[in-house]
Amino acid sequence: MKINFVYEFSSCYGKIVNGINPEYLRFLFNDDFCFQRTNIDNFQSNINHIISFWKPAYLYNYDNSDEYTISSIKNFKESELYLYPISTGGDLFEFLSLRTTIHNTPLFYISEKTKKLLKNNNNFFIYLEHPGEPYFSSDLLKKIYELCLNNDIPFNKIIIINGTNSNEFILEDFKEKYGIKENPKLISYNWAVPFKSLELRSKLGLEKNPQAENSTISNINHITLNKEKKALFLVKRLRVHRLSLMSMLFESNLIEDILYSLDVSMNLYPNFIEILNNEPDTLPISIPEKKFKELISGYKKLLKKEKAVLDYHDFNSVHGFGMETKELYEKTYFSIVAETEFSQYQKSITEKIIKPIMHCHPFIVLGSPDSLKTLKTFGFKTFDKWWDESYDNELDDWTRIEKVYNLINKLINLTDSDWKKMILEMKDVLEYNQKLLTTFTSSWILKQIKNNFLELNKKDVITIL
Amino acid sequence: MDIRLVYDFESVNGFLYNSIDSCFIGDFWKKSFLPSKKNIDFLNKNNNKNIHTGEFNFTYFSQSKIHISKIDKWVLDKNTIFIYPIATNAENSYSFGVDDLYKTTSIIDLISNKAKSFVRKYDNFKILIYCGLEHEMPAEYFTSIYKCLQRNNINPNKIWIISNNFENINNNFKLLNKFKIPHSKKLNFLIYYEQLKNKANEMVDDTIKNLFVSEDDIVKIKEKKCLMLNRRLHWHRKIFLSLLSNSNLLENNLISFDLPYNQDKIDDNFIESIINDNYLKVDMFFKKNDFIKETFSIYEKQEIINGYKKLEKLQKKELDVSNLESIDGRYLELDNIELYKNSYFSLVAETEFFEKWNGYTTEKILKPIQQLHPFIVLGRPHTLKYLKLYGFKTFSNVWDESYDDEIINSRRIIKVFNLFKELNNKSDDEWVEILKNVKDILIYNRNLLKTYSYINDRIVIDNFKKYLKNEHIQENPKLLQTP
Repeated sequence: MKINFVYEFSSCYGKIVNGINPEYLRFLFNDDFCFQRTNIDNFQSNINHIISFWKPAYLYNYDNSDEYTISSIKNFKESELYLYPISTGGDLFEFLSLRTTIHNTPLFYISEKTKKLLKNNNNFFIYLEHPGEPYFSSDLLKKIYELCLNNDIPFNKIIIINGTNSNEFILEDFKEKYGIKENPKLISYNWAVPFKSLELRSKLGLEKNPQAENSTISNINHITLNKEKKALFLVKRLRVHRLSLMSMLFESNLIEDILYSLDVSMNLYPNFIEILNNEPDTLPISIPEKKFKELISGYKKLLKKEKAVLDYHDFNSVHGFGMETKELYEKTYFSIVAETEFSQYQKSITEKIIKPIMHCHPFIVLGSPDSLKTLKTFGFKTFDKWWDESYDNELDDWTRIEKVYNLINKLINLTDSDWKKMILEMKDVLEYNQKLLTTFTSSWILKQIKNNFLELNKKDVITIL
Repeated sequence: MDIRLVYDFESVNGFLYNSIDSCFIGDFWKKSFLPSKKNIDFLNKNNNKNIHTGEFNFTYFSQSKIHISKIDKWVLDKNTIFIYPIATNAENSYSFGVDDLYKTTSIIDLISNKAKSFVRKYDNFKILIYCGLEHEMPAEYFTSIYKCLQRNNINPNKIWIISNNFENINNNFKLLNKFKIPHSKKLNFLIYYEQLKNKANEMVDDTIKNLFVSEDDIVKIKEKKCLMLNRRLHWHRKIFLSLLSNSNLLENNLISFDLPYNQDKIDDNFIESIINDNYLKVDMFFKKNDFIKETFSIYEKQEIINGYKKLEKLQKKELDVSNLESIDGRYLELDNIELYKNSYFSLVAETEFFEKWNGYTTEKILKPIQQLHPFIVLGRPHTLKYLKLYGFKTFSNVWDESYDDEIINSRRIIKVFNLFKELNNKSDDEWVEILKNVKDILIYNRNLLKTYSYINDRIVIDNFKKYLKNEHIQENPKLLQTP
């Protein structure tokens, strides 16, 4: 099926992202619509909120597609799909004006002409792409519903594509919680796999991507090297699940055997102790009271450490592509991956879980349930032959943390010779995984989209990747 | 040779004017990019600035519009000419960056960098500025355009300006010579008399044919001598009306005027200005001797002032329209047929008179041609000569038309006034005789006018292509032509 991407405004350098405040077009005009030359950061600091200049990219590789301006479409061909793309730019909260600065959302800037065409053509949809952070919820869906209502946009003519694997649950919750019968179409897109695949392929010379240039990738031979520490634990933002595990590791001194990064300035819960003591119920994870003492004590030690730098000093500059450091993997036996989301209602994977796969590293995941299961749907193998991975099925958050902690404890207490023996046994799996990761090419993505996208005709929620 | 019109931006309502000032975009969006008069007024008011580019009404290539992002490779095809169209809107002084508020945002400054790079790089990529119905082009407009082009690193010979100002070509050379600019870097001008086509279209429109005088009504005794319709009272109209008033000639003729109308826009202290000769247009080519030649004599000034005082008492004299504001920008510029039936001749007070750089005619001179009315013209020198270039015949067989060759403005106005008096003094019998003598001319002219209608669009297109190929045009590159 042919997909036609429909834009409202076309500049001398091609189509301009939809949903942009037209007042900002002025700023782009003055820079001749040359995004490369435009100092967007400077502009954004003047208007005090973030604007998404991203063009939706998930369907970028779709070969049977075309771009049109809305004024140039004379009629909507029944056999084709027409999508009006808008990107959240990775920050759904900013997009929906839920942060400090209140502003009109991109849905406000959809023209009357587009709205009319949306209502009159069954095969024309707003395609809302939310890349990056996988968090999504029924409350956010409600906010989108309200915006549609306020802006006279048919809610059922919106397709939302995001990185969560909990869309089905979120939609049910939305309907139950708010009693709204209409619903948009939701698509799960596990972007992290092809994203990191591109980086790996670039490093292996299978593809060219200049942004991957600075990464270094460990190969399978690292398994024969002597290791400085048992585990590698890369942590940036200290969310509750990370904070809890970290505190436990500090308290038990297991942290001594771990190569870890830490920056308490990135602690999202600076009043962690206060909250534990006074209002533990406000935390997203229900922590048993008997654990408070242990956690507080470990947390204090963590605070004392303040910062631990591995490869990059400025944590804010670290992002998910082109910043791989092979030495970290060469110095350790296995990775502890603390995923972005943790709740059973926010099932998702990000680039974090793919990183050890790139470097032929075994891994344990502190993430939402079914993280390993999701990986397996892509064909990856995990490590249940060597240790208990039942933590992946555990729905209770705290029990899952404890299971992961206990597993880490067990693995760190293995001797070097035990590890050397075990990791040699894992060689085939590690090599297989790394090799498999190279296969998620753009043509593979295209095939997935083609196979799965049509499902939208029958279902409200689908996974295309 | 294929011609494509290239646009920088495409909105929900189709291609957006090239060279639009970005300050209007936000408000334009609010109006869905619909360029109605009401919306444009809103844009202007909200931005304390006028939108100085508009709809490109040179419609011959409207089917060949293309977006600039699609021609990157195509531009290498020398068989296609890519035209970057810009239409001036409302005031040329804004569009050409003459007015202070628009100094750095002329229509040339606002051409996208991509288009500028194309125009510098490719011979077959040209900029076409269409002046629509605004043809004024004083010396400072020329100099401003050349300066804009210089700071934007665009060779003026890549610019084509379409207007009905038949003095543009000579004035251009005058300026180039004064500033010793090589002729290889000169602007190109084409002459397009849009109103001639519009008036011709009206003539071939069967639905309004009863709004025109029939041939049977030419030779008849009429109630009044002259028809003179005035809307905006520019200097020359006020002076002429004052002379008429002073000689008590307003009464026996069909003459309309409205002193308060548009007074805020024509801010003149008329009497003081006549005394101080403020009607003179002084530019870089004005010589000291011109002052003595151009001014009215003391006696003439007294007549004008006396007449004006009488006009002030009258304030207004209406014929077919009582509220002139109600017909501002009207689509069909047709006057009441009875006005023509009831008078022998028209005194056409054209828009331009004193400004030496503005040699153009408007729809006004075509109205008597439509209505089989003989006419004399209060306009720029050579207005009749210019009409003759289009094949029209005038009335030198029945009265003296030497006023058309009089280049001194004050003398020309007096010559026209004297002719008016002479014709006004003629008896009905004498007029019937005159009408018999000009009947064939009147019919011939009206038939000729019809040939300039849309039926001849092909000729305009062919002429346009021809001129575009031969870039160094010396004189009279008219686009409209009779078959």
